[in-house]
Amino acid sequence: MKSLQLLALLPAFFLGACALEPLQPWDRDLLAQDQMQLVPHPVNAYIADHIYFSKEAASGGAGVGGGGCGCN
Amino acid sequence: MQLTGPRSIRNSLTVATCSLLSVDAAHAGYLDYDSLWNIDSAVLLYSEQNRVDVVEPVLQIKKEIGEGEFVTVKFVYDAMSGSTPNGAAPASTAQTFTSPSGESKYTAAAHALPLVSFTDARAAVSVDWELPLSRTLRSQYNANFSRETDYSSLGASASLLWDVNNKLTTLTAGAGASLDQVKPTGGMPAELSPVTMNIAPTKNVSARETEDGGGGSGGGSKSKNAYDLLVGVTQVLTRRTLMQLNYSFGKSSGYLTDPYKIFSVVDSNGVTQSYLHEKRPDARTRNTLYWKTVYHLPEDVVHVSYRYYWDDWDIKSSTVDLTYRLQLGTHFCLEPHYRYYTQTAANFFTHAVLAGNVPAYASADLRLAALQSNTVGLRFAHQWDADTSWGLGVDSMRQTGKAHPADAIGSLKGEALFSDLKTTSVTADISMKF
Repeated sequence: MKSLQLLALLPAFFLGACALEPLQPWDRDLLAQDQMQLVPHPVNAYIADHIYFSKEAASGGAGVGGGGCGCN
Repeated sequence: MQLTGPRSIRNSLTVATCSLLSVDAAHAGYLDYDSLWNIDSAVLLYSEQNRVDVVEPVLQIKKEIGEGEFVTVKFVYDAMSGSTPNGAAPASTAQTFTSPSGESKYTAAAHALPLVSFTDARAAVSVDWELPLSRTLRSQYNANFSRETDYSSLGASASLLWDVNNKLTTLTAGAGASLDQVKPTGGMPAELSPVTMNIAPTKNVSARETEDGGGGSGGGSKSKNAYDLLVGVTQVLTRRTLMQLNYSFGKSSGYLTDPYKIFSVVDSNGVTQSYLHEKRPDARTRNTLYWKTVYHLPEDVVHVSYRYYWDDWDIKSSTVDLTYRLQLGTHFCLEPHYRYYTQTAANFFTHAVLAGNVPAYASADLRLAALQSNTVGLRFAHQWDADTSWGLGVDSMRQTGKAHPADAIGSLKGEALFSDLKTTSVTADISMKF
């Protein structure tokens, strides 16, 4: 129940973020760097996810799509 | 330069403006997107202690074919060999089994977790297309196909990304579906049927199903379908902080059983009486909450994520993943990595079944047991020049579970029913733009 309450607070957190001062284009220098991307190394991430998928019962979460595999 | 009056200022501005405008477009690489190819390639060498070895090369080619429009093609090949648990419980005496192909026998020593040898290869290709629809709306499409000796998969997905709030917020909605086909080596075994102990050509064909017109040994296939829906929000919190939150819902249906897994049927003393092919429910509903934050320190970058997963097989799982990118000067970096994973057992998981008490669903696949994984890794990367970088990473994973569960039957209490798994992954990668 407590986790559900925390979950309900998350949208409020993101709505609160909307009130943040807008970043100007020249303030986005760090965000534009490769290492600031959500998935900075897609091929390495694919390989790691494939290993975890073959050894664990849970998978996914970061996105939809990707290939199927008979390993699990 | 000494400013001597309004005329000098005007002249200086004129010179500066002309200098800027005279920059050759060929030197302004960011304007020349049509000529850029992005090649990302990696090779994985994966090894499990006393189990499976895998070699997996991956090649990804990405090209911007229009302003903000990208096409990405990825090729993957897997070569797998080694041995994997067949599902039977360890016993106080040696156990002999027939291989899945029905052509040979193999023996597990007393007290050892029975392992079955296999070799397989898998080839996969996927195509991604990212298409801007307006200044704030983007779409992404994916199609993928993979094929291995006994399994094929065809999948597709589409996502919409909507930038709002001065592009500080991106709202994401996506849907994907896959159609998989399972065609096990040696034929499709009937779920919960006795495991045949005779080798070909005298093996007990009657114990195997011949589905979909498979027609006898070596034939038969079944399908497995899945769809996934995802909604998410990505938020720029500060100049240094990016945060993502996703919820996804998915459903799998069809043949979700592993055709190669069996389980032991034992008497009340824990002595093995026979083996049956496993059976899993033909539907599974999955939910995932995924949170990720990327934070830029003065030089270094931290990636941290948490995933909570739950499904109607009663599996609940938490995953924490932390990567720290330690910048070493301009061209080098080190990336230490830690991941913790834990899951509860599926409600039909069992190490062995009591004779005369076979349930509607049963599997002894240890990947459905309660387990934990700890992964530590380190990647070294070098930016060779503006267009080329390479990296070398090593990850070590240790998976542990309960070797002596309280509900073990009879003499099985004295056997190690969960064998820890240790894996090592070495990944070499290179990225080039030209």
